[in-house]
Amino acid sequence: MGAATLDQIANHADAEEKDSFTAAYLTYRAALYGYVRRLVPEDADAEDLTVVVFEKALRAWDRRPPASELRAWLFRIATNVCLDELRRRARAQRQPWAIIRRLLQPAADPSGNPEAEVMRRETASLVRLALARLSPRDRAALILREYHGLSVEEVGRALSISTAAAKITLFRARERLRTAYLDLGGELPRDYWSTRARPSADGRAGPAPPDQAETSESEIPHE
Amino acid sequence: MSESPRLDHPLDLALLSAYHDDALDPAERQRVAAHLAQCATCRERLAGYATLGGAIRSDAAPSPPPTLDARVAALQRAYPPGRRTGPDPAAAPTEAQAVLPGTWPIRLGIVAVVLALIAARLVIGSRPGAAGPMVAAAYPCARAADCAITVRFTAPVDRASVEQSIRIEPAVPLTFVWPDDRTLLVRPSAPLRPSVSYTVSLRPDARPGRRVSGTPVAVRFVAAEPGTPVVVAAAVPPTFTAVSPPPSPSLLVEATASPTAAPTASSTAPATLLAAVLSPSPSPTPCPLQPVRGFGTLYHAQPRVAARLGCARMPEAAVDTIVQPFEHGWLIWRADRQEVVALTSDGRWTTSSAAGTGMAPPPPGETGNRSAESWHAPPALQAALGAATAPAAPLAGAVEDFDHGTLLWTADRVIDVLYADGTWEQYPDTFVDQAATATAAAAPPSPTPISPRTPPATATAGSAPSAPACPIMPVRGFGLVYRTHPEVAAKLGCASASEIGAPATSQRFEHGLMVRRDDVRQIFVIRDSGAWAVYPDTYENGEPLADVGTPPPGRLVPIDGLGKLWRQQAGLRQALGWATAAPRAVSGAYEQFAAGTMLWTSDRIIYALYADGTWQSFEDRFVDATPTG
Repeated sequence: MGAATLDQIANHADAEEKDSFTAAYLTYRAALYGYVRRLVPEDADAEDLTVVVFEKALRAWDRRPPASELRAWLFRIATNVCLDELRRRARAQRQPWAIIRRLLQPAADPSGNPEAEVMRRETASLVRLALARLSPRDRAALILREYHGLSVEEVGRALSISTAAAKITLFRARERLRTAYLDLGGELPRDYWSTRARPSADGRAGPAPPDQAETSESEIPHE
Repeated sequence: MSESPRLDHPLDLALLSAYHDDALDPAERQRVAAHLAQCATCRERLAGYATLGGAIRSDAAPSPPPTLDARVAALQRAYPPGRRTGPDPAAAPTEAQAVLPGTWPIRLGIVAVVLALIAARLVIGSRPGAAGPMVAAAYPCARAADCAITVRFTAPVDRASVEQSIRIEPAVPLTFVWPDDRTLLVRPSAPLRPSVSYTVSLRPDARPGRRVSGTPVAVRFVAAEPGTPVVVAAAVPPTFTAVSPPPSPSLLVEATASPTAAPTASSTAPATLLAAVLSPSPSPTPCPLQPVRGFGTLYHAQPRVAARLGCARMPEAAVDTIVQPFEHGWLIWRADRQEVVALTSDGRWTTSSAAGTGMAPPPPGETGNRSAESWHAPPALQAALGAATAPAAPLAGAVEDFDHGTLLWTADRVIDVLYADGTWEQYPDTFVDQAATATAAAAPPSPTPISPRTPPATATAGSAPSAPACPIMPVRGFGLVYRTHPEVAAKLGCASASEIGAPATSQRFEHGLMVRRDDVRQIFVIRDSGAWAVYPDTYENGEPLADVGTPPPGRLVPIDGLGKLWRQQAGLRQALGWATAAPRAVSGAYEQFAAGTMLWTSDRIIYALYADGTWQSFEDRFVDATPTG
């Protein structure tokens, strides 16, 4: 009980300071976990790495940037943590021990799996597969921009590069993703403006056009 | 399927990517837009970027596991303010890359295989760089009913040797559960005695040669005296706080059962005790996870509710719901659990899965159905509910599980409190978004319970006194305009459905705007003169469009669906004039009202389109609290 009381006093003293971190945690918890989870696809590792991200952020909390740059700063920490981890793994993959293990446990070939075949046809799954073929850095850039909606400038900050370099990184990543997606058998629409969703069967009609005169005006013949 | 743009192509493809990212200056943007109007290959490329980006966005990542909160809460104790001046972790990648030459050949041959077969018997972690498995984290249980200290390892470990290494002092029988090779749950199998300090440790020396080292983590919990009469034994959960690491490296987990001063055997003691801690005073609350927003407002304003619910087990999660009010209760479909929650006016609630019935919401075509029969409700429930008082409506919702119940919010701004004992209460959601308080500075009234016996139709009064009491209240940006402009709300009437988000195509004309809702292919024509109209988009892919001559410099001829409508309706063409910019893909949101429509585009303009053919526009001042929006 004595210890608990001391604890409470300590908590009270730093309640205000703690709040800024707690608020940031609550705000970005889902986004950062989702980001880590996409870069490092194993579930349990994603949780561990997310904890590492927040630990690093917390340790340097007194040096955090102003609120407007906080999001990019947190994503930058997450990017560094994940890319480090992936590099470490890549290195491990080149060690003899890992090579032997891979030889002993060849990866399952999904081609014979009808269920996987169904999944394949879905655009999102195909894109996920295509993303997995990109370098972690390209993947990070696209996920930050497309999923998390960071501006190009923020993407640059998260990847520790300039805005101009981020533009080019995004462009190359997109082209690589497109190639990988097409290689996997994915299809892309042919025209930006004209291929849109078909009308849904139960599409509700909006309010009737108010000026019927205009609506009923004769169509101009196709010249 | 697509030829690459030729080498003499006048447009750098990187510009297209930047155009897609909206990262061009106006002049460049104009140039790309003009070029796009003529270059099918470029449009195709851009469509590809949009499709791929959309697919990335649609592939939602799973939400964080509930254990994350407790682990980060533990971190906060470990790094109190004053110890938070470490090196900037964002400065640079933390490690120089000393990559081994990637030439370890695959032809290591037979020797290697034999080695592997021998070594395969040793369970070693897959995480490189570590000498062996380490303790990644130790954290307390998430719920009282099934309480265990969780120890996570960085890699699979030998279960038997770890179990043999665990000690608890004073001795209490322990049981071990291994959800997987890396996670151990240590569970005292006898009740811990009050006021006794227990220490659980993992002794690296217990078994030489199988060292398990790791970060020392201490976990202490404060438990209220169990076994008080009246309430169920577990009514007041022990709550846990993690404390900063003790210096001893061998000490792994410390569990101190320090019950708060044994309450006099008053039946209400545990509840009041907890309520006192949960009252909105600056003192820290013992729950590792605090509900926020509407749930938080209710939880902190109503200590009794908080005491009955106990601690949150998870952060709130979004859920799709379908809600239908009846004379004597409600039926609510929870898409996350695929079950129907029935709230009846006798104050009891039940679920379809608990009752073992095959209840399901009525199919979309039958939402107007006025009986509980269309939900396949059992006859007794149908009789208890009576007739429906409104059609079933799909609503956005949120849910948060607590130790002894669940909070369920639906976008009609009602919070249902479902207690584990089978009773329920209903409260209005008084939470006001920060963006809303800035303009409508109305202090939220303290929530008061709505009697479960009140006819449900009256139970949904919104928080804004000026707004009409509608079964569905617009939220977010629409809600802000609706609440802060009573005249708009009065003209539009009640919302007949929740807002729908869908992609749109927007094009600016000399005297107005066209916005096509891409999902149902409707084109809204919003004229600067103050009139608006909506038309179906009948354009078929590749359909030839009439030639209407050459636009003046700086003006464009609209294409595809917008172009077809513009060509067909001569009056409209005259009214709008030429296009002044290329069509743009934007995000849109729509909400249908009794007398009009609200339309939002990602240009952050909200249009109130009234049924009398007039419209007004408003700047979208809503600020989304979620960062990923």
